[in-house]
Amino acid sequence: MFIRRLLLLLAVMAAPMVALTMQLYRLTVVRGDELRAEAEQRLVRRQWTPTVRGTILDRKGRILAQERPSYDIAVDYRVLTGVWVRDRALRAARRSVGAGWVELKAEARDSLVDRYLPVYEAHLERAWDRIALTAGIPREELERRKSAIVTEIERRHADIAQRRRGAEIEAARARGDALTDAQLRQIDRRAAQPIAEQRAPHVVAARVGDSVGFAFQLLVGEEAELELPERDTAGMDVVDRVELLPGLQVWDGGDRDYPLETVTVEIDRSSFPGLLRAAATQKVTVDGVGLHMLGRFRDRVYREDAAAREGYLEEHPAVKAAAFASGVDRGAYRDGDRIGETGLEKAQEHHLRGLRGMRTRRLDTGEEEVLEPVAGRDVQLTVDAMLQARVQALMSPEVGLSIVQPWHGQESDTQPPGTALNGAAVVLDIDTGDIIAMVSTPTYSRDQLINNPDSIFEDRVNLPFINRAVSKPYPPGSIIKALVLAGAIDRGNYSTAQRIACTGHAFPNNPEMFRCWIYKRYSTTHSVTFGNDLDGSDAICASCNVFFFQLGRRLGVDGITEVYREFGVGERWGLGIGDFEFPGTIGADNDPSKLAVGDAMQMAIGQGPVAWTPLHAADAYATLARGGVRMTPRIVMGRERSEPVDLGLDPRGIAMAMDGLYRAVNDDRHSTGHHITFEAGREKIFNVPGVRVWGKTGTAEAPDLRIDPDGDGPQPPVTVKKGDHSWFVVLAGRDRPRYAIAVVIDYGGSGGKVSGPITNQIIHALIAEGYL
Amino acid sequence: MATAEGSGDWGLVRLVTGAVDTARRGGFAWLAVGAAMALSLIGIYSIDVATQLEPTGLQELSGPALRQLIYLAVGLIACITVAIPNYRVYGYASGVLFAIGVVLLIFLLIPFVPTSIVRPRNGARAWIDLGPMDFQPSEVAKIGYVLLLAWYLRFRKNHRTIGGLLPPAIITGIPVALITLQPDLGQAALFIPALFAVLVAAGAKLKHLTVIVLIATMAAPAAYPILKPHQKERFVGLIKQFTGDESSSQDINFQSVGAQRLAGAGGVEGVGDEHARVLLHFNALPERHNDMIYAVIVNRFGLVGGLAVLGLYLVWFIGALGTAAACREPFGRLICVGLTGFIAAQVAINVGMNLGLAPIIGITLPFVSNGGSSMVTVWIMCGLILNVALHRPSYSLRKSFEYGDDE
Repeated sequence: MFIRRLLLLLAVMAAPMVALTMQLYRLTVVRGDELRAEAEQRLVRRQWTPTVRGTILDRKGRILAQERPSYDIAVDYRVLTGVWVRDRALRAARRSVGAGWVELKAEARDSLVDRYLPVYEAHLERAWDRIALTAGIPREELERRKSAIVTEIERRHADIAQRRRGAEIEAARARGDALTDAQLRQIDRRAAQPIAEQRAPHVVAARVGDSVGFAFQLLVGEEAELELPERDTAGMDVVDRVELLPGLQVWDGGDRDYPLETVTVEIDRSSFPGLLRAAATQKVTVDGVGLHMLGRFRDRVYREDAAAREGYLEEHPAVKAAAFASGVDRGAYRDGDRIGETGLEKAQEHHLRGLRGMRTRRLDTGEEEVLEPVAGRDVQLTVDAMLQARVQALMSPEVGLSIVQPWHGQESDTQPPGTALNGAAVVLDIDTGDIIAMVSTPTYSRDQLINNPDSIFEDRVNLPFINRAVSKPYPPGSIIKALVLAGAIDRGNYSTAQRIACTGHAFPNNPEMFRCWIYKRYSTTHSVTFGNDLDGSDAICASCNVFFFQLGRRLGVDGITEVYREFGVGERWGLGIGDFEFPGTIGADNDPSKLAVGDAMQMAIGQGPVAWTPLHAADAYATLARGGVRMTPRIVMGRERSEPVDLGLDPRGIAMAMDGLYRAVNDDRHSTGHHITFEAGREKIFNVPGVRVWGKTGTAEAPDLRIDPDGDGPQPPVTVKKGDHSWFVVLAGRDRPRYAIAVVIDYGGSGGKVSGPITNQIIHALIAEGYL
Repeated sequence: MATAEGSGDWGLVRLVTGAVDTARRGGFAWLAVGAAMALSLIGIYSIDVATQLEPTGLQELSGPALRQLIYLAVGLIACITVAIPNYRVYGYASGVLFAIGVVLLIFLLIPFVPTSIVRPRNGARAWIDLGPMDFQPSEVAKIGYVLLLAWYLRFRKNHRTIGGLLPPAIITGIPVALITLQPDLGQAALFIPALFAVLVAAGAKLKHLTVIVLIATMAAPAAYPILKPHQKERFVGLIKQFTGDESSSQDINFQSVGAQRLAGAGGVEGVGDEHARVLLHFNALPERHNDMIYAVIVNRFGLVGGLAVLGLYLVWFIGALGTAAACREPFGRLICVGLTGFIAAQVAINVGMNLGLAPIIGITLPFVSNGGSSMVTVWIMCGLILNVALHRPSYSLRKSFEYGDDE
């Protein structure tokens, strides 16, 4: 029996060996290759080397934005304060006793921690020396910076704790709670919780150059083995692997230089209107040139950014193949990366970004394989930076064209004379569809962005961060009339031989509605001033509302909607300078189906439920100038866009519209855009010798700008701006129209008086830059 | 096997004849000793591979490997020393030996003992710091325990009834409870298979044992809530591995996954000396010279090496159990069986740990893992088995024995 039982025991003892053998077979044979590869992978270390973001150029090859390799060397706050030392020592002490830790008395713990402190203190000391040496700054300077950071963050923490505490006590009082000591202590504890800055790295060496940054890059993630004052069960020295330079981060600061961010231009004021005219030239310095288009960055990368990159790579297999050449995406976002947040930097992010280089090092042999970084691709804009600067200068308040002037005739209590006016201007090359200037005022500067962002983002009245040229909806106003005329003739709703009477108001028995401006202001009609009824050309020249009310009625909702659509309302251009392209809308929620014929009549004079942007205006006029051929405007050179489309408009309609536009700025009797009357006499608006101008004024009624000072609070909104938006759109050229220029001034009033002189000066600017 | 210094010619003659006699009488036990020796040498080499990046040959072993060589020497001396007196002496002393073990275990748990003497390690107060060598009382307790258990169970009446199983349960309960309190669950768990091995061999009714095993199996999950968080973690980690959940491969399963990776990387024939050192160094598996030495062996020698080591243990079992079979009296038999129970359980759990089949619970691989206490203890066990083989009881003694093969 005993022998039997021994055999039984042997069997029982051997049984686990069967399972172990099977598992051994599984690991070594079935998964052997896979696990071998995994283990080998650990012999390899990868390090990234930075790439260079692409340069942004203007149409003449001037550099607008260029990468200056630069890095910020940041160190974790806990390392800065030295808390890291205690953390590590505590961790080592805990690890040495494991679960028994909880049973130790506080003193026992402290004495255990104290054993480990010197190891980490010495290591950190060495690390700081190394950082100072690598960064090329004296150790004392580094200490000074460290303490400056810590002092600042602690001050901020104290402030915030104070505020949190105050708010909590306030809230408790408001609830009518009496606070016990225990509750107060709890509040104190909550208030004293660390702030985000206390968990984040802080820059100890800002904007260091290429070689220093690279030297640091190589040190990131390097480890050091610290010998701890203990031995393990086998009597081996216990080592703790820590970062060589604890908490070190190298931020690819990639300083972007903007050589044309600030430009000084000389303005010749001899062609200025009225009292603004002067013999001497004026030097005007403008900041933030093209900033709306170029855009800005943010330092934080979100998950959406990675998803966006993936989407882009899926659509561009060739780019993807290049990015993954070494098995991992070398263009992938990593912490500390900058990413375009707005404008071109955002829209062209993937184009500009480039691929990192990679250094692969075999730890056992020291072999290195270097994959060079691929610089980001350059982007060239169609914009002429100097023209852009000039237009921006012309629209800056100090020049005087963009502030409320007494002769503007603006009767608005919200904007007394001298008030700066906001607006936008677009200059479009008719032959190519290239945008050669696009200005939105007020502009902001990169300096403001860094030092006083509130002045940009908290300005709810002027919205400096908006690119009005493409983002802000405006009622088109009278500038639409030329397009409506061409559309009506094309559809047979009006023939060039017809004349329509201006009766002052569209409905004979209702003088309160659908009135002509001339009736409103002078109680007369265009039929009287012309001495006969009007044809289409007359109607554009004099901007007769009644004529166009009739066309609107004839076109109906469908017809007028078609006209607007034909000229580009409701479509985004896909310029590639950000998401904020307002496509233009017809009807509430861009749904024309609920509109009535009254709406169609309003839309025929550019009022009612319709909105577009200055770029729409310039684009539509360029289409007209091309004889009805639409070309998608372009701001990024070489960007794919749809082929030009010939709308097939009736040439008679286009000819009549162009004739009307010519007369609207050249007819000295009837037109609205020919001259401004000053006390000293009339002055022609357009005074560039040898340049022919076609154009149309617009004085578009707009809702008052009201700002609710306390959000949705009890106070009523305050009206901050009143009046009409001032439009002027022209086509200019020596022989034929070459450039389309659209100018709008928010709440500026009269199109002719306010936008007219600016438009005229833009033509002068085109000449100064060699365009006309 | 010469230990005594020769005293003249007579001494020399006695030495030679004694050696021949010893070799003849040792029988099966030599299998165990041989296997143990082979495993120990493999261990020393593997420790060197695990702890030294540059291969320097036998002349320059790494620190731990060199120390292990010394432990082996100490272990061999202990083995021979233990093998010399008739093992019945240990029977009479078993109570005292067991008591010493228990006292040491209690000493570990005294709260005010300074950490310079009992420094908690990996969370357990399991070690006494003796300067050059640390000492793990639970190892000593194993030997005292087997001796006392065998001493008690040599009487037949003591285990044929369920009531007679109570004293073994108490003898087992005391060290298990004390070791669990350290807490060192792994060491504590080893007593259970050893107990069952002894009970089975002693002839306890299988019916009783089966019932106890079933009850224990069903009750085991109830013990889960009283585990410490880090102990629970190990089970959770194991379950995650079995279910293919890789979420913890960087934290609680880091060591296990690392061991499996290195073992698997060995493939069929192993990666060779030089490359094994490189892989082991840069994969930085914690405790690789120690609890994870089996993964090191498989990495170095592959499936072949892994199987060879398992085979050597099988040889050891056969040697030990063969010695038991050859022994005609119950105390000696039960010693062999009890010790084999410990070793077998340790092997199964440790290799299981290395291959991802068992939770990581700090069990060393007998004869192979780096560590003085462990090494000396297993060699003492070897010595006891050798002792049983060498000291066949005389016929007269055998006659009066309580245990009989009368069934």
